[in-house]
Amino acid sequence: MQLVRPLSISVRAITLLITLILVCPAVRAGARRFNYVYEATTTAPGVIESETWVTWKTSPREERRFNAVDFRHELEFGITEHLQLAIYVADWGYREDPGTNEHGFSYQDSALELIYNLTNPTTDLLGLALYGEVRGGPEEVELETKLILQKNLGRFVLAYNATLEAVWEGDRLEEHGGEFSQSFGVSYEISPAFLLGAELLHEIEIPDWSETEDSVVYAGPNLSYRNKIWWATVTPLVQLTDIGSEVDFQTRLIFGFSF
Amino acid sequence: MRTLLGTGLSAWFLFLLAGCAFDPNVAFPSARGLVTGAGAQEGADLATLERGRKIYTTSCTECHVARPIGHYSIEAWHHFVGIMAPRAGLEAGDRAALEAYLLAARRSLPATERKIPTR
Repeated sequence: MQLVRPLSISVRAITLLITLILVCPAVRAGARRFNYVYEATTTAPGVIESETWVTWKTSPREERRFNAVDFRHELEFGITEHLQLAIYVADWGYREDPGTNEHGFSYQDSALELIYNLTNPTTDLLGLALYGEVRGGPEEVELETKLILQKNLGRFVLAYNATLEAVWEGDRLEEHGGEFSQSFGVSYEISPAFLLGAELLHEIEIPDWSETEDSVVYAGPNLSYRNKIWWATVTPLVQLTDIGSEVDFQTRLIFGFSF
Repeated sequence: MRTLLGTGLSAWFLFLLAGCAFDPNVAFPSARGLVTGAGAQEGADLATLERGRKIYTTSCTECHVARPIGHYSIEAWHHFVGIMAPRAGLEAGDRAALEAYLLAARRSLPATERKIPTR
């Protein structure tokens, strides 16, 4: 078994995460309706929220069997009524890819994110927010920007993201490229505890910022549950296109705790 | 790329259509409108009502949608705020402003918008 990258950085990052959570008694969770779509609302000022992401990606095809489980540990800080800061302490995971002979755990990166909400999805014509993220790891630097739209209509919430990413990869960050993606989500509040909806994800990679690759589209339902202590949202997505180089199926679970 | 742009533009159109079809000032009356009516009767000033409306449409909607104010009685709103204020981390002043806004807005709604009579 080949270990992809050393785990030492990951262990330090997780230790830091646990420490941060323990020293933040005011942490509480603002429940998410979607897993692949960001919402235009931000964390209230002075509030700290904790979220953990788990994403399983798989391609069960014989010619390209692939499995990966990725973890993200996020702490969100409400800075002002409009501005939110988030720290992704550690992105790490397990990968099993016979195609590239990669097996094992690896630390991937850590990230810093800012979201600024311009309008309110409940009281304004449209909720609008701007998103920026800087991500860095041993062999990767990434800049990500998003335009977030949201509208709350009674018990329905509609959200749309347009995302542009620039990525530098490799030992000397010599490989570069980009990706444009958009995601759309609709959620219906069945009761204060249960929400049901659907999400659509559309991605186009742009290697070397030249020719665009084939579009890949995923869609699937989402289910969210929340109570006064914790919440969880799960979204399984199936690839609707037939792009062999992309995973066929992915499921994301995000859960948050109140302390 | 055309499909991408088409989908994006369709989403924008859908959102704008949805936004235009919904008047938030009916569901969540503005604080200014309440000051001369029910808000004045409650003794709440403009700043308090504005603060209460802001909390109702931002802090409360972090976890759930904003419920129509006229669908619940004044007693029910007191009960809900009592349960939800600690969960939302509201301080005493914020809670009082939220209650003042909800009660003033509830009283300002026309009878047709109230599903449960005010007691």
